[in-house]
Amino acid sequence: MTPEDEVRAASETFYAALNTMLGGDASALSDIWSHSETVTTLHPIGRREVGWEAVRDSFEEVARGSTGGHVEASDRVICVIGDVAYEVGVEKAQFAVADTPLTVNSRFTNIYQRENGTWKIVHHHGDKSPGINEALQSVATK
Amino acid sequence: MSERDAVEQADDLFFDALNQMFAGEIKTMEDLWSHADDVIYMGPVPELFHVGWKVTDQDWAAQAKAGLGGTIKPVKRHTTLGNGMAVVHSVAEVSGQGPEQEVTRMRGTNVFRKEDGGWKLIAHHSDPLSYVDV
Repeated sequence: MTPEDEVRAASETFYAALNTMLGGDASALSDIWSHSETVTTLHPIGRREVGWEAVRDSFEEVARGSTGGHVEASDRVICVIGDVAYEVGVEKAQFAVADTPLTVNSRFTNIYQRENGTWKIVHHHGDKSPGINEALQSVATK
Repeated sequence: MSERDAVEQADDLFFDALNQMFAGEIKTMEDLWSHADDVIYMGPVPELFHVGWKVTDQDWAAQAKAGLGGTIKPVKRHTTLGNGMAVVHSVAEVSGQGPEQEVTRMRGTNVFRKEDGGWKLIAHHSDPLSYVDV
């Protein structure tokens, strides 16, 4: 398997875990993400998180609010140099938070780093998508 | 100079290049980017997704011609350093643009590759927000 194939497999694992998250369980994301204090997210929610705890909390917040849906990545481009790789593409998602239907059509950049021989995600950037943060905030205040 | 310093110097140059581009000049931007066919440009326009230097350069030229004006400065930065590839994500503040001249924030991810001994920009992704906490 080439390094590009390995990163593509890691990406498939990530998006499978995101689909599980939309069903209410964010735990699978723990396996594909680095648990470093330096990992970061710039989510479609529209915020910025630094460190695994904050990143995990952001996924769990979506899992708590989501009542099901589907996400998939397309137009993927992967580049690997040594122990770091990037992947860009487009994320398309349809899901619901409480009773609010949400559609995401975001370009994304994922950064992977090899840790002990295994590719882990260390950064995720998805374009801000309207409505998600507002819907999550409304769930949080209920 | 450490490799981290060199990467962050290249990222500083990106913001210098943006400010020059706002004033109509793109030479610094053209010098900073790799001119390879695999570079990626996803600027702050929804659905913009360029692959390759030629179309990326054409986009920068069109932006410079638009006379955007204003300034941009990074307010938070985070660097991931690998052997031959480095990533810098940042939150930047843009001011002095558009009829309202509002201050907006921009989230960005830059990927650099070591080419001929120097760090060259090979991928850029940014999206604008009215505000993002840093």
